[in-house]
Amino acid sequence: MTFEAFKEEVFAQAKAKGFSDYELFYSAEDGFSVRVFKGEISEYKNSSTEGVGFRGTYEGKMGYAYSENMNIHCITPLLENAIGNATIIEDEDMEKLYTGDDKYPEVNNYNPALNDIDAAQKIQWALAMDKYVTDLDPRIKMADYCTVATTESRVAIANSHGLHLSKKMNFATAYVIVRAEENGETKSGTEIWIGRDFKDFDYKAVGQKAVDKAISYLNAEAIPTGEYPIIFNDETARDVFGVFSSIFMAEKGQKGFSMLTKEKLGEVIAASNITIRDDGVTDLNLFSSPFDAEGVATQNKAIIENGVLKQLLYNTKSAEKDGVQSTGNASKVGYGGAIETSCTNFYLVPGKKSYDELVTGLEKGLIITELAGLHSGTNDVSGDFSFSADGFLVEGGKIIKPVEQITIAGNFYEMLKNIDEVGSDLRFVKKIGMPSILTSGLRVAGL
Amino acid sequence: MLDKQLVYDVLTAALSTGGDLAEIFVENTTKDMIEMTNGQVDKATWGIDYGLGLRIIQGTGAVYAFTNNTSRESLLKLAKESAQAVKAGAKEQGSLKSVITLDRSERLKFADKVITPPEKVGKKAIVEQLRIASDAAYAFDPLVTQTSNTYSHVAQNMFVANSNGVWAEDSRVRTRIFIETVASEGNEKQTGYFAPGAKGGFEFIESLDMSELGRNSAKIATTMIKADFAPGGRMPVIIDNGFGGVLFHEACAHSLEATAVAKGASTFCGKIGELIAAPCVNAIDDGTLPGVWGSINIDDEGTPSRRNVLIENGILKSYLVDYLNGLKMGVPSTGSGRRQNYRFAPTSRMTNTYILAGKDKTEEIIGDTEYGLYAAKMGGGSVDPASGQFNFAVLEGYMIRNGKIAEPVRGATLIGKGNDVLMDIDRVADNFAPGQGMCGSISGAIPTDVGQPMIRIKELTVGGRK
Repeated sequence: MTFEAFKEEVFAQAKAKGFSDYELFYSAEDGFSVRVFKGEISEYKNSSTEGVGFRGTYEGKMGYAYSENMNIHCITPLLENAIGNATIIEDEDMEKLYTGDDKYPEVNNYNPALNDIDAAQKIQWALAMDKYVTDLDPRIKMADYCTVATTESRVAIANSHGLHLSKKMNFATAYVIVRAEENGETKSGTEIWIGRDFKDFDYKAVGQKAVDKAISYLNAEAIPTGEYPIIFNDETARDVFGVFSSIFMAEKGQKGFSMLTKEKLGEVIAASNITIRDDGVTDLNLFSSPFDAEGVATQNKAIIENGVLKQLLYNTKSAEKDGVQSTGNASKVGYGGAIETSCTNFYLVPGKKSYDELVTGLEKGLIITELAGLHSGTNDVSGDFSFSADGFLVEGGKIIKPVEQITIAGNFYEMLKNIDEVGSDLRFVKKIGMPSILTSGLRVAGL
Repeated sequence: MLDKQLVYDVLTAALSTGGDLAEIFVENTTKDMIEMTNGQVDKATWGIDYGLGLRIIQGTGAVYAFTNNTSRESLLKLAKESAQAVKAGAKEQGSLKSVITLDRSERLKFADKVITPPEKVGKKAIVEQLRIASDAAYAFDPLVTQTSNTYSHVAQNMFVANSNGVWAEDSRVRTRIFIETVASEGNEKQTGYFAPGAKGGFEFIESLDMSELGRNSAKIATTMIKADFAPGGRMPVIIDNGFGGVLFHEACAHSLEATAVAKGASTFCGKIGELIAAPCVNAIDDGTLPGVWGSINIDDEGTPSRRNVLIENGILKSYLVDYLNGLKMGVPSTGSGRRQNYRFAPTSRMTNTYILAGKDKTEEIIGDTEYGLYAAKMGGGSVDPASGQFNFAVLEGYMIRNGKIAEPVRGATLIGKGNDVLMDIDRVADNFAPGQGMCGSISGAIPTDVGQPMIRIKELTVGGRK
């Protein structure tokens, strides 16, 4: 069935079964990806999927259920399980359906020209990128992963309060992992491009960066255990802030899973050079959107301004609990998910110094370029982290040698206060944008 | 789930430009999840995952397409488009396969045994079980400030058919609970958790002592909140049984998957018959264990599951192989082709991957260790398959001093290289126990068991803050 026809039937049955209000969330995605390995297409993926998520108020509680099968026979189990789920909810904070905003921001998140690039062209780019990286340097043995992909997604929300919204967005990615070998040692280098226009895509530039990384990591050594000033380049800074971005979601603090609650607003929680924004309408990055997963208009706001906590991120439920308005940060992991909170385009406002200036200014310290164990090594409740890391040793403002097999450990809340410099090289990947940063107070374990 | 004529027509259309093998995977899966936070149910979801994946293999390359519109029109369109992609990717035109063999297919039909389907007991009975664990955790110690308990039930009805005559169906039913407890002191918080799972229904939940799980998770959290940070540096590390097996899973067994081996991206390439581990190490991957979390009756390519000996007395015996990587390597499938769902092409994956019990006694291993780290319970980790470099969090750790378990330490991580660690295992105890996990890789997240007895690693880098 089409979404519209399925919706009519669900709404009619939901009313009859005693739901006081109800909503259907639809999303569809068309995906394409081609992966090349050793000069041949190793994987070619083409997909078209859709599904619906139902939620509705039953005896004062919100019940959820979803289906990827939009067959009329799925409606009864869908609604009966939603009733069953509503019945066991004990959380006293009511989740309510949204009636809509008067105005929604106009955002540019769809480029029809992306559809003009055919599969053959994308295959060509993937083949060319694979060949380019392996020809660049004899130490590059192969590209372990080389892919070009496009994604288009469509979302619609309709509810019994008359909300009826829809949007679509598209983007493209190219991703390469190369492997360099020398003296029996192997190192990987990874680079990703995400954009909305293949005019901005240069497979040579992407390949070159991945190769440069892998080669530069060769002949790495461990360094003695100790405390070093650390530069996170934009990439690893994104890793760390990406993992801990959840602490700014008000619902985490309300449930005790973050130290940050509305009582902390106005407090200094970071160094004075730190301003973090979450901007749902920006042209700086690709993930702007007119409305969030509840149908609330998105907006631009400062979370931290000059070190002071200004704003937490809200959906309507967590906002009601704190007596404030939603910030348009409701999210849903597709049609199957419940309403949660997430960032839109989350970024650290860049400083003045370039990455090179940060390095030159470092008397003795480390540049961290690769992190692993991002989730296993993180306690997002306490803010403690311990990551496996690779990078470079810097002495007298110069890179001395690559470093491997070390761990860096610290606490994110403390780290926010110990960021001595913020670089100017802001770069977004997915929803997080970071420049490079210079920090102190982190513990390095090595030899 | 699909009628035979439609299967035949889709496979035929998929091979119309010269692919070697076409395969259809269909599933209809229901998922039930209940989440309790701080003793209150705050999230309950239910849903149907439904869709079809079509794979066409030509040479050693594959085209994969998936959709959840399974109408005849949609599927034939998908098959024809995919066949065009096969043609575009081909270096030379292959010979057309005129006959596909569905008729002489052996029809394999399996189903998991479920004694108590959850819908029989109802959602409220499940909630009560979660509450027992939460209440026990709160009662354990006033330092317990939060609990998070989740129930998850997945029933996957799947069907796979291919143009070589495979036609197999399975009904896979899995139940799992997560019991997590947070202890707080000042600004510090620490977590303890257990996540047992099995193939089966509500009877699995009934077999568990929920209050003990709650208490034990609270014990870990409250012990760790009082603990000082672990020291960093190289030292002997003893990893206890159960989920400790995650180290072998991540650091070694992933490199035995044909996904890594076939493209030469594994440290264990070409090492069959060679000593890759200390002689005290024996390891298997066994998907046939009844009722066990990571078991499968058939893999997602329709090959019956089996017990694969990976390492015998330190010698590498076998890789884990799926059909496509088997073609590249010139070896048959080991029944290891798995995928999260129809959205993923299958590849070589683990099922229940264990280091088998040895002869040492646990108290002797600890008694013989002058100084080191005792990892009573491991957290998660990851590994770079190219270099074998891994990292793991230690959920519950203690120092060993003078042959005795001494003070608890927190925040420890273990890092090293898989091939080094296998050689550096010098003690293997007799107390084998399994643990359950979700394993993520290129074909998605799949249920797998890890498991081992207590082992000692001569020396390993411990990351800590002290």
